[in-house]
Amino acid sequence: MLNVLISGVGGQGLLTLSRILGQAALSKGFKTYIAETHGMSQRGGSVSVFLRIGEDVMAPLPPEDDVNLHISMELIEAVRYSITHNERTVVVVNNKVIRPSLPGVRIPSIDDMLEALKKSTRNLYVTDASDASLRLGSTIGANIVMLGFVTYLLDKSSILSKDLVLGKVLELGSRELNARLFEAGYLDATGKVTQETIDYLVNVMKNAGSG
Amino acid sequence: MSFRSSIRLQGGKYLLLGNEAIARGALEGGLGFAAAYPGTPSSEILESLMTVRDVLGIHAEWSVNEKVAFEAAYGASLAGVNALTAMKHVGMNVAADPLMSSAYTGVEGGFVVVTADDPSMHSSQNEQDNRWYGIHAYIPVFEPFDAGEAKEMTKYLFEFSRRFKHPVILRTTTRVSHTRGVVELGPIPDLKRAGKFVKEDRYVVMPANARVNRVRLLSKWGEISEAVNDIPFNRIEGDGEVLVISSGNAYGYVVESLKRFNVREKVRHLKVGTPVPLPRRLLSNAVKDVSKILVVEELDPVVEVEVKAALHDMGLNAVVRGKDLVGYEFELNHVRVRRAIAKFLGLEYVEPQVAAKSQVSVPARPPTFCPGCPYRPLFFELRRLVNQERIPYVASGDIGCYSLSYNPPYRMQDVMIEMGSSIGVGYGLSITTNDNVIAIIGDSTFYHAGLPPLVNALWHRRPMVVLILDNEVTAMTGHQPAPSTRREGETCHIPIESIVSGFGVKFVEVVDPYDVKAVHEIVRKAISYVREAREPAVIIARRRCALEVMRDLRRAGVEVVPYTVLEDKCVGCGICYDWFLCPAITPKESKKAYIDPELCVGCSACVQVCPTKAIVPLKEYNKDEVERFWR
Repeated sequence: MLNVLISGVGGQGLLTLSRILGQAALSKGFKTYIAETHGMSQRGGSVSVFLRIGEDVMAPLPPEDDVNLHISMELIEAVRYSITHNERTVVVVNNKVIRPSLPGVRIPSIDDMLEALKKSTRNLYVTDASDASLRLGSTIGANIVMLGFVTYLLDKSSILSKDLVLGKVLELGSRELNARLFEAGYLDATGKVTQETIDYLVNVMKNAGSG
Repeated sequence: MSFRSSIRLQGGKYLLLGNEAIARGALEGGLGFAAAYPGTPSSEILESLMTVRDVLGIHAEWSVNEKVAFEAAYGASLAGVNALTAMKHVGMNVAADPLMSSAYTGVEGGFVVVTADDPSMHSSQNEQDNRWYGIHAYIPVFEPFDAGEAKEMTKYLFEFSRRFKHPVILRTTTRVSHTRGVVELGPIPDLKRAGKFVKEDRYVVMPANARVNRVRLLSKWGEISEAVNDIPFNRIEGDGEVLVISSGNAYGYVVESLKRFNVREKVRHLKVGTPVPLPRRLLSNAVKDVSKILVVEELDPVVEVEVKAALHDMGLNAVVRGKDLVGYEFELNHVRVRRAIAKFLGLEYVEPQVAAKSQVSVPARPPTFCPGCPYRPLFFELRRLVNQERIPYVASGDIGCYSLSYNPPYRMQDVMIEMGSSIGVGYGLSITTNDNVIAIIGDSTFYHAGLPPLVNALWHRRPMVVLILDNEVTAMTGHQPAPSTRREGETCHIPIESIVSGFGVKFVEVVDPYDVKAVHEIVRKAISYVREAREPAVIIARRRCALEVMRDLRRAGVEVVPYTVLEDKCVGCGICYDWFLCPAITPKESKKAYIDPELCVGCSACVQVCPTKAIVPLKEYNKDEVERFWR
């Protein structure tokens, strides 16, 4: 069983990201749930989506101590949801800060937020998905870059193959651009991800409970 | 895969949202007619059906409110057509009048009433448990635990409803409606939207007929209470000397928790799919030789109360635990269910081991107006006006995107209760206080529930300013059309000014909310007008929803040019990022403003609030071409 939390800010493409992973999981024959956030909180608010994969999955939300993979599109939200981390939760975070719309709001420094995340887990990965997307000519493609990164993790831990996920990405249209965004994330992961992280995910998928 | 393309498929498993699964189940069950008013978390049911109505030849519509939608589907069902209406939980309060009568008259075609409840109030003002409506109205309540079951249940309900000629309630909660799950697609039969109305006395609820209806209703309720014992959604799993009963959404949490404690084989589990009426025969089988019972359900103790009553009638004395261990408020989660089961079974329970709360405290992130939202400059200017001119006021708010003006710095929702309350509650305040009452209501909400209170205020000649924010769509729930939507096709555009002028309102002004100077002048004028004329004034602030405009610009292939800040002109006053508060504008270390090109939609609304004219487009573009889409 794999429990994934996807967090970020309304409008960052979290639903698209989670649906692609969910569809890929279903194609591979996994029982899948995606608990989405709709409505009011989508208007630039804090958003969390839960994806659950595995035969034993029966409920929409994962157990509170069993989030195995946290994909965050934004740093403040990554820190906010870091209370769900167990010491080995794999965290992939987009190095991007979106200022909450509150007058005079104080935001911790990026260094402080990264330090807090590091304390919450042994498996932290920081990616420049928003920058990479802008470099590739898209203001809305950071989620696909993130997806490329995460796909490396899932591919190497034999949960979902790269071809399977990429196939679902290409179904979105804008094939050439999306393929480049996806590859950028995948390539970034190739140099960063440790064997310990992969072993953890392999183990999580094998066991019914947490690793 | 879109819902529309999925209707050609059958066999095979697909990942559908709970609400899409309900729409699919309705089609497989022979739906002919569907009507609803949008409301989170129910909206995607009708949204899905709207996308296939032309290909399948069914009638599907967004109606002006839940009562009208209910009546429309009710009427269709009286003609023998299978009909569905869907609403959020509080929408059922609006539709409660015909709901009660529908059980008395009964129906002809299958009639499924979907209520989507919102435990934890993700997008709602309360977390009322609408299963009570079933008890109140003598209408059976079916409650699925996930998308797959929601599909099967909805399909089954049309047959069930036809069999008893009785309406049925399908009750979901947010995590059922908004969770995707695996759904196996079945065949969609030929769908009929044409029926025949056979005149019968039961449809005329004059007292003499109502008394006959009442007696028939009670006898039918007895038959339905018996029938629910033999439906596939109620069943006993496992065996043991203790019994856990779960209703709806609780089922999944209970199964996972029992597995986690390794006791699934030692516990009898009654899965309830019809909390109202509770399957009593099945319950009496389930409680045989059982010493204690735990009821796990979300929100109120609907099943628990009924289980206790049933045990009393059976002369049994088993211990029943429920809300004392699970708790009432907010949605279920693993911790609540696990803790309750551990305590109930006397098992060791360890609190989840997760990271300590971070040392770094991060700011809240409330939802906010989107970049380009026409409401932002409007509320910016309203705030500036009442501050500058020291106008004593009450901003009487309403349900919609503009509810977000409750947040600082705008703070323009002093009271906000339910659909249409801005005018109704504002009216009461206008009689009892000396404040200038400004009722703030959106276009779709105005058609929904704003007309009667405005007529009342006009009739009784009360001085209040009614500010109608017209973005020409029901925006908050996902851009469903409203009578304000200008769209070619079957529907007719009904401009708000023609309605209010028709009522006899004399002060009716239309203003562009991007033009903050004009907003300032017109609101000031309206306030003096109502003071002198002692009657309501109506201002309509009209500009299209930014999300709609962005979609249309993208489709038309028109380039959106973001704006940027001229470093040397910006003095770092903070008006744009602290008072205008566009999410795309942020302060740099130097306090000077920066516009994020990932977020800016090129609306240009911030240009006029900058006192030093430091905000300019990133490059030259054809403004008229873009502006066309905004109007």
